[in-house]
Amino acid sequence: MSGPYRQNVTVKNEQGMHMIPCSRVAQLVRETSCQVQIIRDDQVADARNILDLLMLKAEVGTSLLIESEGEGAESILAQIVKLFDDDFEIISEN
Amino acid sequence: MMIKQGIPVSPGVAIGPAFIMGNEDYRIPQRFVRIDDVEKELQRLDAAIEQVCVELGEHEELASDRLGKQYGAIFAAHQQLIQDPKMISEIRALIQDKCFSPEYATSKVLEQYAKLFQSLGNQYFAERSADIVDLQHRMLKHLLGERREGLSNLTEPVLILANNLTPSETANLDKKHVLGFVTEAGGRTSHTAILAGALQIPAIVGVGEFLSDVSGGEMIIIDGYHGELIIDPDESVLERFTASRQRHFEEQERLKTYADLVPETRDGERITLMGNIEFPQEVEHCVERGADGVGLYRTEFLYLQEGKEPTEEVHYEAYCKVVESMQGRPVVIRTLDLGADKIPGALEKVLLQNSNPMLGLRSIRLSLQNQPLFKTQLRAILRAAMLGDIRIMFPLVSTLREIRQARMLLSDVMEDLEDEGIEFRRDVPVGMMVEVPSAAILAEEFAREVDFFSIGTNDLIQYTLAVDRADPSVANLYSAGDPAVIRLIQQVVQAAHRENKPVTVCGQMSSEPRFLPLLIGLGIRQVSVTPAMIPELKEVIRNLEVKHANEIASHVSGLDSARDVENYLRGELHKICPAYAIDF
Repeated sequence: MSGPYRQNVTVKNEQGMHMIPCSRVAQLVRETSCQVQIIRDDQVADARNILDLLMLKAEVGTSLLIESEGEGAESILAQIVKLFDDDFEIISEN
Repeated sequence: MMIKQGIPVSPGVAIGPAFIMGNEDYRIPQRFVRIDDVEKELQRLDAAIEQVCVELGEHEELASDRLGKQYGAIFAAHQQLIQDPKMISEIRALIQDKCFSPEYATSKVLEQYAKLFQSLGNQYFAERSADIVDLQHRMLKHLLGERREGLSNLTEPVLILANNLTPSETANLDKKHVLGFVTEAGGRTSHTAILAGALQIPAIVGVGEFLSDVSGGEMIIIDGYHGELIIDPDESVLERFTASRQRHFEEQERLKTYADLVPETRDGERITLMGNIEFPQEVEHCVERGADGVGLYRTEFLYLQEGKEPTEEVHYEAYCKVVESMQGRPVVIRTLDLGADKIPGALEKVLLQNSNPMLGLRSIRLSLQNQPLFKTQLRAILRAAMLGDIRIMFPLVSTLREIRQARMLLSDVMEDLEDEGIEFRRDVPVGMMVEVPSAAILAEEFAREVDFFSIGTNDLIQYTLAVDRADPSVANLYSAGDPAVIRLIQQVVQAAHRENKPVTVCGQMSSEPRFLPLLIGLGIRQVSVTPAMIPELKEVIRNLEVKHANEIASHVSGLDSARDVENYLRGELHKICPAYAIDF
């Protein structure tokens, strides 16, 4: 067991944490056994659940706290932060 | 009695009981299961989730290939959503603890989420409830399987009322049992509207919300001439419409006698009168009315049928059927013209994610960006052209570069076929739709690059006037009689004549009897119309003199408002053809 690890991120996506960003995060977390929570103020979402994540209603500019715990928690946290930094690898118009 | 106004898209009068098609389509037959069956039902749930995942995976692949990776991502997200562990455990709990059927449990959980999203008070998240509803439908479709309640169970004639009908639903309506339909959504040029015309049943679209006012089973009247839906008609109204329906039948019988007559004006000018079709079967509607050819064969239905990309053989068979039935008369095949409003179920939402789909990736733009898809269609057209007079037409061309690119791809395809030793016709005429103002403005330049023009008035009007006809708040601005539209048409005709290239009008405008004399006056000698309108238009042509048509065009050029133009044309039509102007 390792963690918990914590890091703050800001939503850069214009449309906020919509379906695609949420599904990317959930997909990543589901591949591990880590407990990952994304927290907005007093609202806590289990990052495994897209619906939970959507319910955060995180629009562009929202600040979120990511918390991870368990096997490989440090690396999963880094990967999620990278997703936020890369704007969820959403490919724009080709 | 209640009267609702919508957009008439297919003429005629239908009277009968209302059948509401909404969630009825996914009626859940059984809410509870026996406790002994819970394990079996859970397995059924898992199987359905897996099937939905496979289906979404196929959609993702298709959307990524055809539209780009960013569109495929939507379906990938749906796939993740349906596998959401929290949601699945909620559904499972309802089945295990309360003995709910998987259908009922799934609906309950997903509906809850849909409502929750709607209540979040943010437009974007509220729209996500549509995604959840879509998932719900997918799940129910798989869970219910053969048990799905639908239109196939109809035993008596009904009139369909729905929020919207998908193109495939419309195409599958059985004319034996469905006398007509009315939808809350849709516009005159929506796919569903076009299909209604093809089916030749009275239809109204774009009525706006009315389904909450009907419960199903009540007597209704669809007036497909004026776009009126009458719910629970009074005795006198019912009588009036029954008589009107009778007149419609009689009129149809009378017009049948026109099948063998030639569309020639009184002073001997032969007008080429062709039919617009969507399905191969519609060729019959053209042949039986004596059409001079198929001036517009829309091929989108091939793509909408399965929600999958059609193979070259599927294209080829459809084209062969059409060209063989036309027995040497020309068949103009328009390549894929999928627009935002014409994308089937799931893919439609993908395109609507764009801020402005009508100005986005559609028609020839889509084809040029998806070359494998485009080439498959071109190969089939070139091969089928061995059997008759097939011509190729590219839709929504807006720049010269596009037409050059499209022609280049066509040459590539010819080379491929040649290398493979497959028979095809090399000298197939290549034309384009003139439906974007830029193409109309540069008509002379375009005319040098193609063998023929076909003016698509529906889009030309929409793009020229910047009006979405499906939007009721501005629909009154949409008019084929607008002086700007008429001026553009005139310029295109003149440019085509200067370059000695034939020009056809194939939009809704040419199917409307009052506009036909004007078009002839503008120099048009070829039109392609809704097959059902061929007899009426023949009658107009046979009663018209070109001299009169020229006078009409000249008078219209002096009018400065759409309303004046339309009123004037209505009056002139009455002079030309008093018999036709009967008000139904």
